[in-house]
Amino acid sequence: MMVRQTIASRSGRLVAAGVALVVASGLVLVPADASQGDVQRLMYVHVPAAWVGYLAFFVVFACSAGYLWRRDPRLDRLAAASAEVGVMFTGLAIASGSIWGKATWGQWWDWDPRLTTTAVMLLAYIAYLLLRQTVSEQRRRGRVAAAFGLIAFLNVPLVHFSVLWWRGLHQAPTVLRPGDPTIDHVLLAQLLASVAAFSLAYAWLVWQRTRLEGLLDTAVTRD
Amino acid sequence: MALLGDAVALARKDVVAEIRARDALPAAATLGATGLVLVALAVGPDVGRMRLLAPALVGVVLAFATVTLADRLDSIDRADDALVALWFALDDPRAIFAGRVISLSASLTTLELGLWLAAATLLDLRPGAGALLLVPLAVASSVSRAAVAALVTSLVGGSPHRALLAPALLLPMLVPTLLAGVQAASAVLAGGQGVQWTAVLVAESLLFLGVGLITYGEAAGPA
Repeated sequence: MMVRQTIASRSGRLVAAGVALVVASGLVLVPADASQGDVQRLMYVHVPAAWVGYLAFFVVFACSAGYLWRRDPRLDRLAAASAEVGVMFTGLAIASGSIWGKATWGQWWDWDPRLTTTAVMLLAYIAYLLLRQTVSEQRRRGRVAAAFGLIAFLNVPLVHFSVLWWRGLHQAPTVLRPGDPTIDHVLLAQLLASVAAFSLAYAWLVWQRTRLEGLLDTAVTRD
Repeated sequence: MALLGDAVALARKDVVAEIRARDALPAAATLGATGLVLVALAVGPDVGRMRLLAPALVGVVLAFATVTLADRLDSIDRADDALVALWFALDDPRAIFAGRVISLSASLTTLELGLWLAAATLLDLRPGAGALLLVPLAVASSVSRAAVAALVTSLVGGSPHRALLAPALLLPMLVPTLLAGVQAASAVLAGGQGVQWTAVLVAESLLFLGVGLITYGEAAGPA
């Protein structure tokens, strides 16, 4: 137990240092964007946060399907942890996008399809967490949350393709698109480093949250 | 085939109960009419603006009415443990879900067509020959709403927090149907056919039906 705690603590410090390093590099080292200037640096937080949101909700989807199939409580815990962390990162993506919007579009919030569908996706996963909170019996909670986790994922492709299906202010994909990315190589390298650091932070947070959920379940079973 | 036969029998039971009791559909229709009048009052006496808003208004009113109708039908089944009896009596419990989708689709289609009639009268809509296209559109969007509503209400039905959970879970999940329905209706009212968006509605219906049929037996069940 002590060894595991030490590993968790040290890996946590490493991940925090990694995130701090790429954020600092995005703020100071990488040159500013030619047209947007310094405000573009928000991209190194906004895009990775949005990516981690997608990743987290995909993990909820996969674990939900797995739980309905195998009834393994570890998958249920993983889905719960991933949903919590996903909600946090999606909130961060919306907040950073909003600041960017104020600087570039002149307003904090525009009823753009990407913004609106992201807000709806966030609400769906907050509802998922609410659902989990209101069902106390462990196995029933796992079943109902898994079913909702499957249908809630339908929001993710809706968010991703909203910029292609509707006209809006939000720019179309620059990296995840057919053909070469439409972004400078230095900026792209910084962006990918940020995505990697945020993904590691996600993995660490989910690991810790799953561990905590497991301890809680054990405590409830003992009671 | 047993599933379909049982589903039709259960849907017939719901429809007969509704015809005899006349509570859920009139309550939803009253809610819908109130929504139309309230928004018209709030927007002011500008018929041109209201005409533009009509598809969105009908879509939003239907989303709220779906919550009321689905919750009412689910609570009827849960009274006196009728749902538990049905669950164990049927060869395939998924017939409960399929039956609920059929009866809910019938009620929602009736309600949607009634709302379009009210909107046409109050907001001076003139869809012309396109009015007939609103019928398949109403059927497609109703099946989509019914499938997601039947699944979600079955997940929260046994919870003491159902009054809070049902709208919180259901409304975000109705957004894809709302978006496609509003786009299709706008196209029809503008003199087009809205075929693309109706196809999206059909795809959404099939997706929700599929997920519902796969998960209902595993996830819902009596509490």
